[in-house]
Amino acid sequence: MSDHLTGLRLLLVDDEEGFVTTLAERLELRGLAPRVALNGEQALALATEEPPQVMVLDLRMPGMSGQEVLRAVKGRWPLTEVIMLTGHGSEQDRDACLALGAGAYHKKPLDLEVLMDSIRAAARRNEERAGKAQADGR
Amino acid sequence: MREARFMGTVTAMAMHDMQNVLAIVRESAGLMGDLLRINKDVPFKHREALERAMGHITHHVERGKGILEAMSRLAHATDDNQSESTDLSTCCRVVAQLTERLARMKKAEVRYTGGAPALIVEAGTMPVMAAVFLGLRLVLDQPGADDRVLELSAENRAGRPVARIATPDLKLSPADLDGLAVALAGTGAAPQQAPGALELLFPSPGGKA
Repeated sequence: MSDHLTGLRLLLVDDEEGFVTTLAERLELRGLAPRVALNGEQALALATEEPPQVMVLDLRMPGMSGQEVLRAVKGRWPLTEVIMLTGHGSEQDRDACLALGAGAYHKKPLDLEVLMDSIRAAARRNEERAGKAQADGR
Repeated sequence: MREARFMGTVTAMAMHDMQNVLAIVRESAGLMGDLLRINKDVPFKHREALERAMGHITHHVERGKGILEAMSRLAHATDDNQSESTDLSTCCRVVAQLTERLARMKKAEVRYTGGAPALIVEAGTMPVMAAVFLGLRLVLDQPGADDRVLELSAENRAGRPVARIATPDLKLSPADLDGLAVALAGTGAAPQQAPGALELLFPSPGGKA
């Protein structure tokens, strides 16, 4: 089941432990090795250790909200691609997240293959932007 | 209005939580499916039954997702930005989804057959949904063949937004229409009988009323 995403630095952030750990297991079966954070603070700590290329981020969590995490991530690691995955799908939330730099916004429950496509697209964007940043000498 | 907003807020929160519940159910069933596929060459007596059960789970998670999305729309109907105008097509789609059970009890099916894009009505989301629901209920209460289909659509008729509920041989009495007109008071909708259909005419923004 593995594909070219093997080796991708992927971080899953969701306070629903049953959801995020099962999702991580399914992604592992597809050749990915995601790390898991159960809240925003933990996500930023893990990102500080090793910035993820792609982050799948819940919107409503205890403590820091998904939007706060998104803002912090985009401020500190602008190359990180963020995919919002939430059960809270108002159009205002969607617009706000996209305006803050999220690359995609999905509602739960989501077909895993749709999420995989979204991760692939995010990984491509990350690669392109990293290449461009390198070429620009940053 | 305060009570309606309270109900909308707590309902929206509960709906969002239910989406998380469905997501966990879906991922867990998905993981079982993944494991069955990986071990497809390992003999397992109940493989077929398990695959069938997982198919049911996936199907009904999707069904639940549709219901929750409709419930979420309903819960947000009391938001400030939805009190003056709303999209009739969205309202019809939501009400069709939420009356699935009522229709089944009446041995019928409500099918949303589409709507004009951004069909704005000069009335709040809540009264418009209530009007469409009252119209549907009246038609469902009429005698008809088992398994009849009610086709619900939202149309732009020369600038006038119209919700149309069509089913073969529908004939409403003048008393039915008068009763519905009374029930619709305050929603902005005006009922009229068309051949094989009940139509609800809504006011358009700054236009025909």
